[in-house]
Amino acid sequence: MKLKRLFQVLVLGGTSLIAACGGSDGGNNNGTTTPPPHSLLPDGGTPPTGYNGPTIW
Amino acid sequence: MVDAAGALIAQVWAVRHGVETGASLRFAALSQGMHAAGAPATLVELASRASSDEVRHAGHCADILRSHGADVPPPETRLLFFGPRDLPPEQRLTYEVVAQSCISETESMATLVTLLDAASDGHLRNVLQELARDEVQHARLGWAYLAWAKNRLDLSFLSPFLPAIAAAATGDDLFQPSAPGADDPALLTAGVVPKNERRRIYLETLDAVVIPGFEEFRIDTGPLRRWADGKRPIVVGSDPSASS
Repeated sequence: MKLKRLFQVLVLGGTSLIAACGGSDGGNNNGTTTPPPHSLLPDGGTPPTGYNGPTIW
Repeated sequence: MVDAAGALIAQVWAVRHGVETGASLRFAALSQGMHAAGAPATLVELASRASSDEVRHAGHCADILRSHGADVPPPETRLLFFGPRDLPPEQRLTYEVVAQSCISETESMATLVTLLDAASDGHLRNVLQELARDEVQHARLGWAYLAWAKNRLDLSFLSPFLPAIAAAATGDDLFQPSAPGADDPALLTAGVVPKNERRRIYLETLDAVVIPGFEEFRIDTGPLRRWADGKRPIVVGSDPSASS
C-alpha cells in the first residue's frame, strides 16, 4: 500500500509537474527549436569500474 | 565506538555522507545540463535546489556520525558521471537523470519511509522527516524530466542500461551474504535498515514503483525485470519468515 502511494507521489506527481508548467512541450527556450549544445554535461571524473550509477541512501 | 553494531552504524552513515556530497555535485551539473537542453525552468530549479539540499543532508549525516563518536569522512569532491561517454548529449543527460532520480532517489525514498516508521528518537525522526520531504522532490525530478523528454527523444535507448544502473545503485554488497549483525532489526533505531530488509525493500520498490514508472513512458523493462528476478532467490533465502 505504501509503495502504491510512492508510485502516485513520485511518478505521477512528477509527470503532473510537467503538465502544470505547460505540458511536455514546455521548455526554457520559448518554443524555439535551437539544438542543444554539443555537450550538455562536463566530462566529470571516472567512477570505479563496474559502477554505472549512483548508490542509494 | 568499539562494538560491531556501532561500527556498522557508523559505516552506513559515512557512506550516506558520501552519497549526499556526491549527489550535490551531480545535481548542480544536471541543473546546468537541463538548462542547456532547454528543459522547463521548474526542472532546472528543482535540480539546483536538490544540490543545496544534499549539502544540508550531508551535514545531518556528519552530526549523526559525531553523535556516535565516529569520524566524519571527507566530502566527495569528484563530479562523477556513470553513463557511456559516447552517448549523444541528450541521451547522456537522460541516462544520468534516470540513474540519479528515477532509480537512486526513488529507491532511497523507500528506505526513508521504512526508517520513519521505525524511528523512536525525536532528533533522528526530525532529520528523517526533513530528508524525506526533500527526497520526494529529488525523485519526482527524474519522472518529470522523462515526461518532458519523451517528445524530444526516443527513450527506448534506456532499456538495456537499466539493469546496470539498478545494480550499481545497490552498491557492491547488498546482494552478498550479510556480515554478522547486519540483519539485526535493532539497527532500525539507529537509522539503519537491516540488510535482509534492504534487499527486500529494494526489489519491492523496483516492482511497484520504478518498473511501472518506466512503463508509463513505454520503456521496455524486460531487461530490468530479468535482473530483479535473478536477485529474488537471494532475498527469499535471507528472509527468516520464508522458512517458517
